[in-house]
Amino acid sequence: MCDELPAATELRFDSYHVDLRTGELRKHGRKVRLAGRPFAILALLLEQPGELFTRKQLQERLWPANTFVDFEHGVNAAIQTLRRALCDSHSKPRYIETLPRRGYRFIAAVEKINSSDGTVPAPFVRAPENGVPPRIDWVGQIATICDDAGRNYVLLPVTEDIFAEMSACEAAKDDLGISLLVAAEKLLLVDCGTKVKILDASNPDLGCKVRILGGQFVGEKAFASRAHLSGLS
Amino acid sequence: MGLQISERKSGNVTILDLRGRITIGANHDSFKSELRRLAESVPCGVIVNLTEVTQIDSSGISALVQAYVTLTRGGGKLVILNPTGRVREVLEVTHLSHSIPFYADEASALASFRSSPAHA
Repeated sequence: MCDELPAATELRFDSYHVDLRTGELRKHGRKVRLAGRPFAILALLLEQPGELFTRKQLQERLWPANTFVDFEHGVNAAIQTLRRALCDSHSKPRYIETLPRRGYRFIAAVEKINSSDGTVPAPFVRAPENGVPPRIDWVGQIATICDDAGRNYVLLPVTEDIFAEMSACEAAKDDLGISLLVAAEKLLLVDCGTKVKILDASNPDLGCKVRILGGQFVGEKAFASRAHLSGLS
Repeated sequence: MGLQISERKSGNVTILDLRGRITIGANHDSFKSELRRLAESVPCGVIVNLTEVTQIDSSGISALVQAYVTLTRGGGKLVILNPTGRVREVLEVTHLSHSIPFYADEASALASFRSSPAHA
C-alpha cells in the first residue's frame, strides 16, 4: 500500500496547463499538439522540476527493455519536438535546460493541482500575468518577414496546424515531408523582406496569422512564427 | 531571361540542362511537362542540371518534388546537378537538398546511376 499522496494529475507552469490523465497540453487554454514520447518526456520532467533527468533515465522510462533503436536520435527528436511545442530554445531555455552530455531538467516553476484532495481545480483561464498576453495592438500592423539565420527565404505555414506538422517533420528529420508540404503549397516559400499584415496575434510568442502583401504568394494567408516577424511595435 | 531546356542522353540516363529561371509562368509549364514526360517513362534516370539556373521558386520546387516521387515510385531515379547561389539556398530552405541526391559534377552524378540496378 502506498502511503504517499496521489500524484497530481494536472500541473501548470507559466501559461501552460498539463493534464497527465488525458495527455493534453494547453496554452492560454488552447490545445497545443503534443503526444507520444515528447509529451511523456514533459510529464517525466514535471515529476521533479529542477532535478536532472539523465538521457539514460529517459531511455529506460520511455523505451521498453530489449528495444533496439537509435536512442540518441530518439531522445533528441523528442526533446526538439517538445521545445517547439513550448516555444522554448536550446540556447536560451525558459523551461527545458540541457546539461551537456548528462541530460535535461525543467527549470520553470510548476504548480501542482491535485483534485484528489478535494480541491476542485480552478478552470484554466487566460493568465496574462504569467504568460504572454494577446497583442491586439499588433493587429493591422505591417511587419517584415526576416530570418535570424541570415537566409534570404523562409517557409511560412498556411495555418497553425501546418506549423505543427512542419515542426513534427523537422523533429523527425523528415526532409521529404517538408519538401512535399512546399510542393502542396502548405508551406509557402517567401522572400525575406516581404511585407505582411498582422491579422491575429492572440498567441504572440508563438506567432501571428498574417496576410502576405508581396511576392509569389501575395494575398495569401499564412502563419508566421515570431522569429520571422520584424518591425512590430 | 526565361527558362531554356535542352535534353541529352548518356547511356540510359537523360540529362536536362536548364538555363535561366524556373519560376511560375509559361516556361515553368514546359519544365513541368518535360519532367512529367520523363517521369512517366519509368524506369528511367534523370539528371537535372541546375548549373546555369539563376532563380527557382516554389512552383519549380513542386515540379522537382513531384517528378522525384513519381520516378522513385516507378523504380527510376532523379538527381540534381550543381545548384549554386540562391537556387541552392532555396533547395536547402525547402529541405530538397536532403531529399534528392545532389552532385557537384556530372561524372559523379552519372556514376550514381551505375550503382543503381535499374540503370546498370
